[in-house]
Amino acid sequence: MPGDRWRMVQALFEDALSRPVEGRGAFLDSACAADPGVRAEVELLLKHDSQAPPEFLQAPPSPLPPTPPGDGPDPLIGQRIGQYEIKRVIGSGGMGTVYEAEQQRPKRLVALKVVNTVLPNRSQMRRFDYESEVLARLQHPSIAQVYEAGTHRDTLGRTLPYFVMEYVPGAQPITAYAAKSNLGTRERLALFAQACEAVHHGHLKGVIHRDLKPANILVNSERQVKVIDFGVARATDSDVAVTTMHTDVGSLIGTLQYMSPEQCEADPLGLDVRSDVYSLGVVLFELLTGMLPYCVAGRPIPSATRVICESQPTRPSIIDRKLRGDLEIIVLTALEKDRSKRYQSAGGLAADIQRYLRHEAISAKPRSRWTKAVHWAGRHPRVATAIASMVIALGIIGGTTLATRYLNREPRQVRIADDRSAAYLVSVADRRLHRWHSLRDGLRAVEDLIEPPASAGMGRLAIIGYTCADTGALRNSICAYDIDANRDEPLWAGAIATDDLPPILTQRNMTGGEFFPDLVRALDVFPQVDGVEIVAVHKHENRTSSALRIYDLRGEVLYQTWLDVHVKALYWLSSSGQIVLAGTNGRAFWSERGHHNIKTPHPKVVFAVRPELNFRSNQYVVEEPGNGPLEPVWYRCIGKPEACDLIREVNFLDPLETAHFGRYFRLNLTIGESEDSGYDVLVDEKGQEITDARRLSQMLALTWDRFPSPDYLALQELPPATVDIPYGSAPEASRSNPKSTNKGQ
Amino acid sequence: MDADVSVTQLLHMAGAGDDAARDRLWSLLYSELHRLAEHQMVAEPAGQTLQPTALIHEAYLRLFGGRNFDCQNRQHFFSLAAKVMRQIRVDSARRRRRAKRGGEATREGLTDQAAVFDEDPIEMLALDEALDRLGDRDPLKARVVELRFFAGLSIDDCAAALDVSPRTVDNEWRFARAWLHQQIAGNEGKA
Repeated sequence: MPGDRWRMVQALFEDALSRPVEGRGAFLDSACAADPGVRAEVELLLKHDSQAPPEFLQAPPSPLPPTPPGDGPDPLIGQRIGQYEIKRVIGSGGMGTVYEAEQQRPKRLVALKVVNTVLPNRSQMRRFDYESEVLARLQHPSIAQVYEAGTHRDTLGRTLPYFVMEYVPGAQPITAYAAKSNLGTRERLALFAQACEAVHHGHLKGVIHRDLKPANILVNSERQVKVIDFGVARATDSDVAVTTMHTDVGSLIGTLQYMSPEQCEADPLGLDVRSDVYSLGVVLFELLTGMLPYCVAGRPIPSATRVICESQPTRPSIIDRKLRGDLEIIVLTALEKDRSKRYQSAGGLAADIQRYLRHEAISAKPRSRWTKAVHWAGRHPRVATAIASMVIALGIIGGTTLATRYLNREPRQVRIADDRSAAYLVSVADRRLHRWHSLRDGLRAVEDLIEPPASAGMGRLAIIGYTCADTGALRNSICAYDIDANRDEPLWAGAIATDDLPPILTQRNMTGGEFFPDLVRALDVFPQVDGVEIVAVHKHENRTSSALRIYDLRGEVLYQTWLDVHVKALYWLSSSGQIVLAGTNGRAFWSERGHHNIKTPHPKVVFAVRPELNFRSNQYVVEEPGNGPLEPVWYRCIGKPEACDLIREVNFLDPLETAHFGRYFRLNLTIGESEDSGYDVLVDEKGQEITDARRLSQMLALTWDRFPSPDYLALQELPPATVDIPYGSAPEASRSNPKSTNKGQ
Repeated sequence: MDADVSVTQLLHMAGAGDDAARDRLWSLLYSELHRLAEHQMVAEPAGQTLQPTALIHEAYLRLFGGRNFDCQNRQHFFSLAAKVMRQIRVDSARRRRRAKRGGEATREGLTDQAAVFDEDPIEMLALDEALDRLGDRDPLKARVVELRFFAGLSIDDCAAALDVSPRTVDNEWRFARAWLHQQIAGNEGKA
């Protein structure tokens, strides 16, 4: 059968290839003795396999995977590349390997760096040549001279670019050198100023370094600074992200620390000399304090870039008081997020350092007040940073250990099991990372990974509400877990205490422990408070009374009021700062509002409150005006009394037009028996319905004959209160309507 | 098809065998990748060649907004993207061949400049045809070629996209390459 023959030919082909060329003939002799036709086919294929030129079907450039350690000596040792004889490996990193090599004419030691990118075609090689010429023209005592650049064809037929550079004997990164030689602050500054002069020289020649970090600022045994790897990233590949794609996450984070905010952003064209100034600033910070300005260790990459782009650096004086004053100003000026506020050149930075050393006034001005951390608007908007997108690319490409690790370990979502007995933290690749469990039906409210602002100093939060079914210690609490730190113990737990209860409820011997978290949402309610807040509705186990609370990310209760509504849904109208709530009112009814009557169906209501910061009350939000912070912004009944039992569910939806977002909401009602019957209404921030925007679903049209008109579902003003009867007390016989079947309470 | 169906849903549906969804996704990917290829040409100095991996990666971000997929959908996406890249190059080769023969003088865009794809349009069309024949006999090999050559994936990444081992990819690739070379450059003998 043709299929079998095909497979046989392939098997023979592969087998033959695994043998040395001389032995192939004999192998085929014995393997194909029975079928010379097959032998001919295999031989033809073998011939084409060796004859096809490398350019045929050549895959486009891709980075080489790093050679796994312990794989034997580097194959290049002892080889010749051009006129250079490779002696030994000096070091290797994500970008490539640096060798010590001996040049023949003139006879001297050089450093030969073979870069990790393959350049298969002529146009890329031409570009490489051009850039190397520019680099060769950089001549400065503090720049490791590039003597030559070229390309080398290795044993696998790949073309590898290499640079030949000045060999720096006894070279150490500037930070290591300073530590080993126990340099004082002034000596460190003098060395650093040399590095700045070098970088500035490069800038004058039109070369941005792009990759400044201590490993690229070397100091030789004569205390001479040698900056290396100038613009190498550019010469080999225009996309920095591609060259770093296969590095270990750890070293990538290491490089990230030195990258300017604009380098972390998507626009590589937005780089200028001031990015180098920033990186120099980080090195200076490290030289002076021994630490790095941001704490990104252990953070996932997208989070780390966000810290760099948005949070303020630690002030050096906090680490070492002696750095207060001008020196701190110099460092922080170099580290400014806004490029226009940094030193506009490396030379400017060097000049201020020299002024400081000469005890003269520096040119940089102190900032009057460092602005607080950026206000967080809920979930961080999608920013395709060079790094983040690279990590995502690793995710979609998959297969490499780095990507797999990321996919399997990076938390993405919290999901509740169908029977609500457990909540799972799942990773990007849907792997379960953690399980919070409860009794059946014990988990109700969950809010997903919440990003705190960098200033909060905590990892991402998952909020889980445990309800009355759980009899553990966390019963009826909402718990915040820092999933980047400790997933087992909650950072804090919020619950209602009996002291929080309205007097009316304590009189009936109700306790705080009877209230469970029914609804939880992360919203940015208070702009004055950094980060988002957690809005929660704690509902009584069988009464309609609920507490509306707003917690901050540390569990402080910033707002609390009580509602006599079984809240079904919640919506945030950002432009007017209103929380809109919808549900079943436990109190108001139609014939005589204020009179609680168990036979009267409870109306569905929708109303809005405007929370105030640090308003914590044990009073109810009431429908009547004149109660200050307890007064709702507006309050409506949904539909006429006749519609009460027909409206089964109430839901909020986003307005269909983006122009209305934040100022309008859509009220969605599920009518009658069938799920398909729906009624949608658009409502503005004053509680007014936009009647033109009414939408009825098809099913409803069929059941519509039960209703005289759609007005029965329209939002109604509340009927005036006629009799005000305190909640829970039985109406007296004289007040009750003799015609009603009121059984009292 | 409902206009509101998101691109992500299209991918799901296409993976499940919905042809209408696949066609829709195909045209989306085609226009996206084609557009991005042109942009890449504009951004780079003249004489550069395409980097398909970067293109596909960027198209992915633009279409799916950085959302991460499960294994299966990832595989579907890559296979589809590779096919689209192949089509783009073949279409471009056809146009260039017509232009060479003195047909319409109109240029369809930067992707038609010969230097971009660095190959003879006749060879590309011969490759396309031979690849079709290879796919008829052995779909896996054809997919490997698409992913390696047209999408620019490394052996490891191919392996992930096809859910096979890297060793398999390497073997398939090597055989496919020899076979295709034979088809195009060598005798047209049976194989």
